[in-house]
Amino acid sequence: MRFIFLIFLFFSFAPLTHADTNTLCIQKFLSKTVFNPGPADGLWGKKTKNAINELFSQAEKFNLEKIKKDDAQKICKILENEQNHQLLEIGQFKRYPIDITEIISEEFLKTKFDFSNIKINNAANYFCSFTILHHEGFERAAGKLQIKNGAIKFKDNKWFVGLASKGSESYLKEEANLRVSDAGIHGKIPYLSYVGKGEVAKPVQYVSLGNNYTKSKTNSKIDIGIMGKHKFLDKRGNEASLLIYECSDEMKKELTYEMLPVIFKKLSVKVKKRRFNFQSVSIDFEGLKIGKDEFDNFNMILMIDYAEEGSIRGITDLFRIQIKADGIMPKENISNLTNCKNITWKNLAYGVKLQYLIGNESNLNSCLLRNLYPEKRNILGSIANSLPEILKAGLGSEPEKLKDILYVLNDAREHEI
Amino acid sequence: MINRRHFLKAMPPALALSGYPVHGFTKDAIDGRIIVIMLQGGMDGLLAVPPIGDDDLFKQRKALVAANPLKLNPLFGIHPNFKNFSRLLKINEASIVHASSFPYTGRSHFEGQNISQIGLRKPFSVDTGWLGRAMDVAKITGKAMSLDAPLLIRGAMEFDNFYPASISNTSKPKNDLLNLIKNSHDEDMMKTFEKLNQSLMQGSDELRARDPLSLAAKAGEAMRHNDGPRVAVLTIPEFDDHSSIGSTTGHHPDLFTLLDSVFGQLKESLKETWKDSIVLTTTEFGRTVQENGSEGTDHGYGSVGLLAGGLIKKSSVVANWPGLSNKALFEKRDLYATIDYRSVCAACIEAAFGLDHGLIIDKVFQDKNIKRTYHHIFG
Repeated sequence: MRFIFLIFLFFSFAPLTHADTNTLCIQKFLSKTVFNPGPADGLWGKKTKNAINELFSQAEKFNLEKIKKDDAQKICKILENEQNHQLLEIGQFKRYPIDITEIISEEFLKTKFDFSNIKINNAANYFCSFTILHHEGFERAAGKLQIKNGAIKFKDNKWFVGLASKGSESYLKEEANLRVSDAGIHGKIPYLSYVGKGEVAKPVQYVSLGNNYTKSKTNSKIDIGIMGKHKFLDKRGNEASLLIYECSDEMKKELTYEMLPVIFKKLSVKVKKRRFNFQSVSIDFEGLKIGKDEFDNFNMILMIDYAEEGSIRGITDLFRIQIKADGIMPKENISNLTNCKNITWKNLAYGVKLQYLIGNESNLNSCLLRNLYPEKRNILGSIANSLPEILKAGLGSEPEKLKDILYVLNDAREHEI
Repeated sequence: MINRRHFLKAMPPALALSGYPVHGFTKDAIDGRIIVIMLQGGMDGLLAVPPIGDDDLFKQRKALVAANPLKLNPLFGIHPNFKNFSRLLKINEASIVHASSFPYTGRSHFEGQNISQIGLRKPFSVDTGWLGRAMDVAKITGKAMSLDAPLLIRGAMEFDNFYPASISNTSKPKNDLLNLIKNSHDEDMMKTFEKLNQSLMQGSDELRARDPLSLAAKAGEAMRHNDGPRVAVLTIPEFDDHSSIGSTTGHHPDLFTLLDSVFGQLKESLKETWKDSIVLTTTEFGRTVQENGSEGTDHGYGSVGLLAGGLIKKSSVVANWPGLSNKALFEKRDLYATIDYRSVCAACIEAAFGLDHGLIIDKVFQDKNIKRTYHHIFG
């Protein structure tokens, strides 16, 4: 019995005989952290070893092998030197590394699309205009795009609805992922829904385009899979389409024309009464001179098409200058106008009427101007440019009417692409 | 008299943008962005980030653990609805701070939300927010203009933009007032006020998004510009699930999906600016560890904070895990908060605004005992 008691005493006090000041130094340091070394007894045990290894592993900056009892002196020196403060700071919280082994599907690329089963028309290289249309014909976005080796890149464009109704161009430019095949356009595009007055703007949708392609009725060669309507469904099952038109194998530069002063001898401006959504302003010049062009009499109409209430495009849906084509455009070019969108011209009983657009849709003017006599291209742009002065000269005696017309003119210009 | 439920219901999702750079006044050294997502009502941290390696979790909670959490490491998992956030964790752009809370052990939404915004121990003791004071210290001006700007971003100087306002006629700034302010300052400040004025006027007739996802898109779009706001505060309400909280599916999991989408949307809309950004969640308190008799959880103490952004270099779960045994719980019912969440806020301020930790805890949180978590989150 006495022997057993002696053995018990030996093992009870034996650790004290092995207490080590360096180990104690480590334990005292660790006791100020969340890495628990057990009691500060100077003994190198499992708890002390695990705690100091965990701390150093978390700190990462000490490129050491697994710390062993023999390293105690070295470690104690590290803890006592200037690194001490930072290690103490690091030791206040545990950091559990992330080790995700599961595969998480990529969802950030909302327009990611598998093109492996589609024969892409790599030879397709065109510049086109586009419009995104709701199935009832309402315009959602419009602008230009480029097809390069079968891939579509959106250029200048504008949304008229939703989050981007104030003009963000980034959605299509940065996120669309479309390719051309002979059967249509494939891939995904971001799509913004209409937001009614007082309604919540809805998040961007990402919709797929597939084989639902109706080619345009033009005689253009560029009609295989490209020019025409590419229909798709939004998340609510509503049909919409990407309409691609006016494609050319070279980028049509915007026709530049000189802005010339508009000089006239006499002027008459009559603001007609508004009928439903339409209002016209008749302007008659006498002795009009624009550059080298002189006209004894020149008549034009400003036609204003007011937007529906709550329209995000502003109060003016369309603002255009209407003039007769006689003397402005060669007769043989009239047939070319079929390539232009039909809001730029009209064939009436008295002849062809040209519509030069201000603000909304003004990107369509190039198509019209391209068909005029080159020397006459300055006329329409110069008149449009001088409209505020022309209106002021003609409506000076009617300030209220002048204010109203200038207001809608400015509104139209604000919504220009 | 307004009661707690009406108080919570009256708070719609909201967005406040703040901290437009002022010419010649803003500290340009670190151009970080901070986005705070306030999770109102008290998020259940154990449902969001379950400690799947702690056996006591399954002893304490019979039903309220998602069936298939994504395993993050041997101790923690994450609710499967956090898909975007998990991806960010995987690419070292997100971190989690668990068993954390603002220093509030009461169970009142009024007090808890106030403390989570003022960042001090005593509720209603000041009328400025911790983020507003941080902007003051960092000399980032251009703050909230309308009356109902969140307390969180209120500081000494307040000029800027907030929407959607919930008080009638406060969402639009007063032109006369802006002009008066503009004309009473020197040329540099005048430019700034003019810019603010223009930006406010531009958006004044715009339809205002009110769902968190659209607001996140708005925030990202605004913040990614060089002269855009440096700070945004988004609110996601309705976390106060006393009944039918859900586990794999249900109300709380639906809110996780929404929160997760907001993280995804912010990354997407911030674009390049994401690398200079930190997004962090705050919530006024956690919820009880055990479910109540209505398959919900009641107001508790410790919860979890989710952080994401390009400023994070290495993903991790930061926690001094207290355990979930009965003995380890706060007041025998709540997850013990072993990390003062203000230390997380302080680290975010340090990373985004370049302020010294000592200065932050002194001037912003007025508590020198707040420890530094910068290395753990951003190191």
